[in-house]
Amino acid sequence: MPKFDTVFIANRGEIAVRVASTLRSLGIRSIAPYTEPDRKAYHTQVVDLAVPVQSYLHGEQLISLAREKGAQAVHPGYGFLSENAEFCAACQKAGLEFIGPSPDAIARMGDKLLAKQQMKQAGLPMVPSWSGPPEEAVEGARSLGYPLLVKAAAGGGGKGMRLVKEESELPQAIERARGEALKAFGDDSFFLEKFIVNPRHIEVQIFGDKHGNALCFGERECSLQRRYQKIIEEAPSLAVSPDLREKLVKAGVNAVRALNYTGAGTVEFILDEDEHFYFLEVNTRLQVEHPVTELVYGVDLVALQIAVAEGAPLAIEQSFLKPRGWAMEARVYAEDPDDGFLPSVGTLGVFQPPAGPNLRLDTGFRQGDEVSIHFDPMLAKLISYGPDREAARRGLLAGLKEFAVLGVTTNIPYLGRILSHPTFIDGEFHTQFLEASGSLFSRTEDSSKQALALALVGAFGPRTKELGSPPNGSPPAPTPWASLGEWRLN
Amino acid sequence: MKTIKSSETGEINFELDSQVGVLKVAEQSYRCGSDYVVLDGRRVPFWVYREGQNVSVWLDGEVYRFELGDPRRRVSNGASEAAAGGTVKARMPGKVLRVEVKVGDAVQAGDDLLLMESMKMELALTAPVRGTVRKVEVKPEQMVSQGALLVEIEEE
Repeated sequence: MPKFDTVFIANRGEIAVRVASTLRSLGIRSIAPYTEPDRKAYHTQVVDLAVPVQSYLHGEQLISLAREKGAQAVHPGYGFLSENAEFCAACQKAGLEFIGPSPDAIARMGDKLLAKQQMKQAGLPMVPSWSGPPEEAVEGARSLGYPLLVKAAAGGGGKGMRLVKEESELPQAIERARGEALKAFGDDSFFLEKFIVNPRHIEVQIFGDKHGNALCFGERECSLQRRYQKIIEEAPSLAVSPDLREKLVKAGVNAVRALNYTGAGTVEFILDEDEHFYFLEVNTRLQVEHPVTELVYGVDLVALQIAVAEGAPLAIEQSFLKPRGWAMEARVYAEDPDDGFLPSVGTLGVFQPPAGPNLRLDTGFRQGDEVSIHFDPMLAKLISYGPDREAARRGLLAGLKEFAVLGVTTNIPYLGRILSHPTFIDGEFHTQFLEASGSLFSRTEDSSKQALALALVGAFGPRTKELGSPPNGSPPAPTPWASLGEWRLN
Repeated sequence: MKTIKSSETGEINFELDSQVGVLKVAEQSYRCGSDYVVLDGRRVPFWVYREGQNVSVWLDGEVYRFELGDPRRRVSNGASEAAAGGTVKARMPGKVLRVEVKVGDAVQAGDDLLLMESMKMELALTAPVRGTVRKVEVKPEQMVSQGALLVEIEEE
């Protein structure tokens, strides 16, 4: 099989930057698209060639550009067209290698109902569920019992999903979920599923090659979520014993074999309080949280994706895969946890990530960049590594505390409060933990720090009478304290 | 904070509760600055960033926001956002997806007024008070900027 000379990254932001980094290390040229709001985005600066496109979802244009600019393969990243079977097929038809599974595997796993049937046949354990016409949903729900979840058949990432606690809430939940699904996926089919109380969200990283080899890396713990959006992930999980890990990995390998899967994918499970796990879904792409697996298994998953796409056999023996140490990831979002998690937009006037021997930062932003309403509000992923969980936790906490961002409100202090909470430290949490104890993580005011901050404004802020002066004017002198009263604590 | 003094050289001496420190203003720019203070023998870095009327300070992992305004209205975080009666404004820029009420409708506090989309997320805006809808300023598909008046409710 020929090695790739040029790879087209059909994505933007941190994942485009991440993929470009591996391509560079492999000596492969990288190309990435950008839309008008992303004209100066970081990802356009780290690839060898950036090309303008109308939309990151315009598959036809992406493919023709990839061909025109000399790429042999397309890396889809996550989101956008990464789980679009037609796009994958179109790449292949255009003579481009799609760095991911076959269109058939994507299509089968993209339909969440079909995916369940297939994985059930492959021997993976299932949560009880119901699907049928909307007018029979009330009866269907009764057969499962409450609480239950309404889910979009074409869904993912929490879109088109609703928790229903009692029958009276069902009709509206179905309507909302279907509306969201229609908008996000162009398909409003849905199903109902029994809700497991106090579950954990555990997933395994699967890999298959073109020679029928299957591989499965051990678990990622992704239970810390808010509105089904993961916030903090780690590997391994305190809830997974070596025995349970063996079972999870076996299920992952079975999934690869059943799908004749090639490339990277993730099998998601929920784990109940009695160590039973149930199949949730297969994501046929690289996950946002893939770095924690990379750190504890000492592997570059993007490099492995490329090797598999080039036709190399997976040269890793399953029995050699053992997690080493502990990795923890926090997702930094442009949002205000103290104001209903309202997304925040603006200029990253200050964006100073921490650095250290056991810290990794994946981001698509630099200081001075705009955070716009056009894209996902994730600013960065900060990942720490340590010999054990407590070392990884402390490292991540210290990193977050050094991570200075101004101009856009972020959840960094909120992440720090979660990492400092006894329940998190003990590892005794589940997917409902954050929402069930939301107020525990709200900001507590430290009046002396506030006063000091106010003093710093006095020292660094402009004098009130200079407010109208142009940005290229002379810098203001330290403010006399008399003017402090002009500043209102907001 | 007990006392705080600045000198002509830009050096600031302060006493915070039991902590005593000296802040040296070494670097300055119109929009943003960075340095550190020493608290209890430990260096604490900070950043100050100004954007129009707003100044924010990053200090030891937390962010403090200040706004140029009336000193008598020195209020703590968030309170200034409290809705004035039944006025519902866009809390962030985005697109109106659905309007659930019309002028003259009676609403209870918590009733859905409209659905907005911003940053790929749907946000349901609800009535802050019980009353009668007096104004509906937006239509579905309309783009609105932050702070734009959306709905006005006459409180009962």
